[in-house]
Amino acid sequence: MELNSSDTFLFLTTLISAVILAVCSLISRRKPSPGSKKKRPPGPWRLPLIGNLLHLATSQPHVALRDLARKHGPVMYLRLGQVDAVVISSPAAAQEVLRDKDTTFASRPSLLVADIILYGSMDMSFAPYGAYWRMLRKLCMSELLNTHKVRQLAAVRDSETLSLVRKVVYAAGAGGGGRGQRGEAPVVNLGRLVLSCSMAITGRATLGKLCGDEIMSVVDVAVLYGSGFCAGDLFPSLWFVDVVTGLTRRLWTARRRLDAIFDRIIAECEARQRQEEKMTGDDGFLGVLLRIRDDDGEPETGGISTTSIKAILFVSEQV
Amino acid sequence: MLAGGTETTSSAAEWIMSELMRKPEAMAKAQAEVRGALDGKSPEDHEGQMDKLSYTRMVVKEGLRLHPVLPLLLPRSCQETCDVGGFEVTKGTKVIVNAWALARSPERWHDPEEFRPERFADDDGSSAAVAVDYRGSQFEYIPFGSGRRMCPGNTFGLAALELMVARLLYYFDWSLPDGMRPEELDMDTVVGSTMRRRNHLHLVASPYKETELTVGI
Repeated sequence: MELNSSDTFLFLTTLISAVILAVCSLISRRKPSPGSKKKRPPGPWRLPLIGNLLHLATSQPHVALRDLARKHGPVMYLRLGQVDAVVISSPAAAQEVLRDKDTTFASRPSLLVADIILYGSMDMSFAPYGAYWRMLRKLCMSELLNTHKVRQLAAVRDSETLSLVRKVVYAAGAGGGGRGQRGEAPVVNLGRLVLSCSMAITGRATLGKLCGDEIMSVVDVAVLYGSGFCAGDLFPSLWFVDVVTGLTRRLWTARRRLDAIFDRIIAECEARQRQEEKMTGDDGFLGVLLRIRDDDGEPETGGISTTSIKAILFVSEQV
Repeated sequence: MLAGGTETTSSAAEWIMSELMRKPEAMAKAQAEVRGALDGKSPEDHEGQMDKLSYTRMVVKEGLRLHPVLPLLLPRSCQETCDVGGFEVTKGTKVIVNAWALARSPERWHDPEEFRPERFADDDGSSAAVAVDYRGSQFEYIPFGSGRRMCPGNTFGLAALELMVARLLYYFDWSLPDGMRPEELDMDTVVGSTMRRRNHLHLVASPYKETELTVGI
């Protein structure tokens, strides 16, 4: 793996901070709470400070966690930096967390990326479990994601998947210009084409029209920061590392870029609505969101703000 | 919507096509089914035929089993100290569900590493696999998660994914570049915001006979 200078800097900063932490943790050792009778789940050996982070230093964390769980059990304890984590690896334990005790586990841990890019976790995926989240979820279900609405979008899927077929025909034929030197059939980058197809479908359903490159840059931000390494998420007391390494600044830059794109998209949609004066139904989910914002006012009374609209547009599909 | 509903769907489509390239008999079976159902239909009627594509839809289901878009779902946070599997999970703990491991568990799945869409068929005999759906009710198969925080976009995403795959199978015959054998196709995985192919899938496409008529090229 090649390290560029910013990676080296990040590494050094983290290392130095780790040393500071080491000293601190030696001074104040965590004591088990006296009242607890139940046992903490079993888990693999841990290093001081970083805990089990090395176990996860792999490109395929799900494989590493499966292998660890085979040794330590379906409910496994890990210490990720300063964060306690439990990994669930059996259907029975998953049912306990996701169904039987769903309410207890219905919130998300806070993440730096979500706090900045998702407008303080105002989207549906990361919003804390509560009234705001319930309102968002209901809104997205009733206006875009329910079976009836999905069926209504058949024409969008039809035309965009046909457009995918045309692009493959073009790339596979002489028009693609990709014919190999020895005359063999041209190779189609299918991955790239299905990505653009899926962006067009979601983009049209959400924004009511094609925004092409703009959607592309939004998705790029999501892909780029979706799995970002954030010292502050693993070591809450080391939040400043993300500032020093410039991650916080880069996230804010991405956020401002998104803001500009969304402001433009929203302004266009508002202009269309003013022109048409009434609901025509072809300004998509965004059009619906803007009407709800204008009708219902403040979030406390069940309405949504422009900021929440941006967060919803960015990410709303969650697991 | 834009981030959640795009790379997720396309990544799944790419994995499904990759698995089909490695399993020519599954590809042939799905393709025969799709062509049987769509031949002679006008393109706007294609989506209405999806219900008839039972094998192709099992292909999609099996693809999502082996390659869930979010293998560790999204983490949850424990709001109050409680008991899970007889152990204490304290308030504030980050809870990670390894949906990928559940979907490949040898206790719940026969030949879990094998891409075998037939496992979901009614007459397959492995009753556990037949019962699973996309609603997160069987915990060995939760590609969209489960419970309150389950993905609300599953209907939206599946409708797009199934049509995309059906049309790719209908309009083209696919082959691997440079005489590559099915088992040589790389399946290198990278987990970023989603679990996707490290390298985009590159294939050779030969248009099926009817393409020119229906797509109007």
